Amino acid sequence: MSAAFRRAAAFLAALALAGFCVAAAPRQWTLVVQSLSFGFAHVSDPLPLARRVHYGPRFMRGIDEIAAVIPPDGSYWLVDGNENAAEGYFVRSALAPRRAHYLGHVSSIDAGALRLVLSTKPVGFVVLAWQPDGPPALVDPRRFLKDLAAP
Amino acid sequence: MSTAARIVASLGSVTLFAACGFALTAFVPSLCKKPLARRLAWAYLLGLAYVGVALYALSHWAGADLRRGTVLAVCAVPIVLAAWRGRPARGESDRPGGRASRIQRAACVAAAAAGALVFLAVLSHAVSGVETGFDPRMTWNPAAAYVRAARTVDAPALLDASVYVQNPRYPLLLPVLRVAGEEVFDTDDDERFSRPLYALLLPVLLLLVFDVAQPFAGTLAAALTAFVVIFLPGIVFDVGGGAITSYSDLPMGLLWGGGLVLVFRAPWRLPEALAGGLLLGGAALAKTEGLLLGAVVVAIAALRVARRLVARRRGSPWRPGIARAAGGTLAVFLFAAALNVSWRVGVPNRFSETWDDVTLRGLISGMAARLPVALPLIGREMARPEIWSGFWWLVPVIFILGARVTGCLSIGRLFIAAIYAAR
Repeated sequence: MSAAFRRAAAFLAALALAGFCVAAAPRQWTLVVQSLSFGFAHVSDPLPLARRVHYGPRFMRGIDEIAAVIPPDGSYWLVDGNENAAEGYFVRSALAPRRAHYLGHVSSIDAGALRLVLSTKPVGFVVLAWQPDGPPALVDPRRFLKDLAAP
Repeated sequence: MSTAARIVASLGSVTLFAACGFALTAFVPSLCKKPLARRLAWAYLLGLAYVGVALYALSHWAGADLRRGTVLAVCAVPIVLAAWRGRPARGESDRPGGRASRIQRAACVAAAAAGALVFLAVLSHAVSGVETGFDPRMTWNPAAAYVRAARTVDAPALLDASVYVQNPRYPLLLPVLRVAGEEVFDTDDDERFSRPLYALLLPVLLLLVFDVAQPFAGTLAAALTAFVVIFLPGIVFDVGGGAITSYSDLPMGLLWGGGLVLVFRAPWRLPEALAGGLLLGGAALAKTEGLLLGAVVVAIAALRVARRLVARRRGSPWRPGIARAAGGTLAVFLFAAALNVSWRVGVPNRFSETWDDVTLRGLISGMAARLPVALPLIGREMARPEIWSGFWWLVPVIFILGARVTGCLSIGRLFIAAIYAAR
């Protein structure tokens, strides 16, 4: 392969790399500026505020109320408030290391089977993860069963 | 905890891992002679792998509590050994012999400045905001909380089949490292403390890309390649696994890629082989697929030794160091693989992706059935400009033109490049 051909290939390769960088730079620059401004604005936020900023005040209000009742080494039954499983994941993550026992989606729970489960493995709390119209909430197991049994 | 104390503790924990790894590089000739920045990049990876694997093993096999004393004792071992040994291992210098041209110097300075700016942005976000990535909130954060609460990798929440844990058998190297830092600096469950551990992997990636590319392609091409990585949102800012998140993908990819380079590109000596095995072992304990990927590298290394053995019978010269090196990699990797298997068999599987159900026969038929669906999906993902900025159009162009320049186009190198690109 001639030296001139190699030089041309090297030049084209460098041009392609530089062209990519120039084309990608504006978007990346925007992200850099956004991250730096976020960092400078929020670096001294206390933890509750930092969580509210990202997870939303309504979600964190619900989590804080639940965490104040269930001790860190406690357990609870987790019920998904709607069909999006991610919301149950996030509630469980925010409440860890409290241990979750999963009951499923509120729409598909069999009241009879649930009554049996709750009577054989008594855990004091039921957490309803992200209901459609409200934050995660703590529900009394008996009230929860009564609500399920109601038509 | 005040903001300053939190940031100092956070940077202190990553410094501890880097110091540990820096001490380890003193025993690896080809690493200890590298320029400082590149040596630090390798040191950070080695530190993560060593501290993580050692604490994982002590917790699971020896029942040691993951507390400050245990973490500091583990970290002290390589540092004390390196200090006691004094003189670093001898090896060939990586420092370039010739003086770089003005263009090469300018490209290096520009890449370093751009990399530093992007890293500063990632770091400032990491110390200021809580985690928003999906997988960390689904899997890694709760896992770290369970391990921290029980101070063991065999946390009751993981071992109790009735507890709702998503992917409970995902290996815990990164959560263990997070807990190690939290214990040493006695922090609370503020995830802003542990996010810099992941953010620091961005400069490590850039330095490793430069370090690995330079001998093949020259300084200018290596600097431009690092530049390209800096401009990839998918690697840096993507909330689905970039350096700005606490996903385990980037750590696993770097540990595995670093191990691959040490096993195949470094001289065949025992220290390099052990370091390579340690990085592959770290990958095996960082993510489920790391075990399989690490096993592939070890198997290829074993095949190379077998080929040399056959060549020796035909009269080619035989270097006993080759077998020693392959044995060293194999031993360290098998240790980590055994730890992975021993830990996961104790964890009841539930709410899991289907890794445990995969058989070889199922894998092949499953691939045949799913590839027609998966390939267009992969193509669409690779074409997303907000993640890749057209990177996948650039790759074949550079590869073909670059191969013309370096004269190194071969099926083997194409394969390795493809694996790297896929990671």
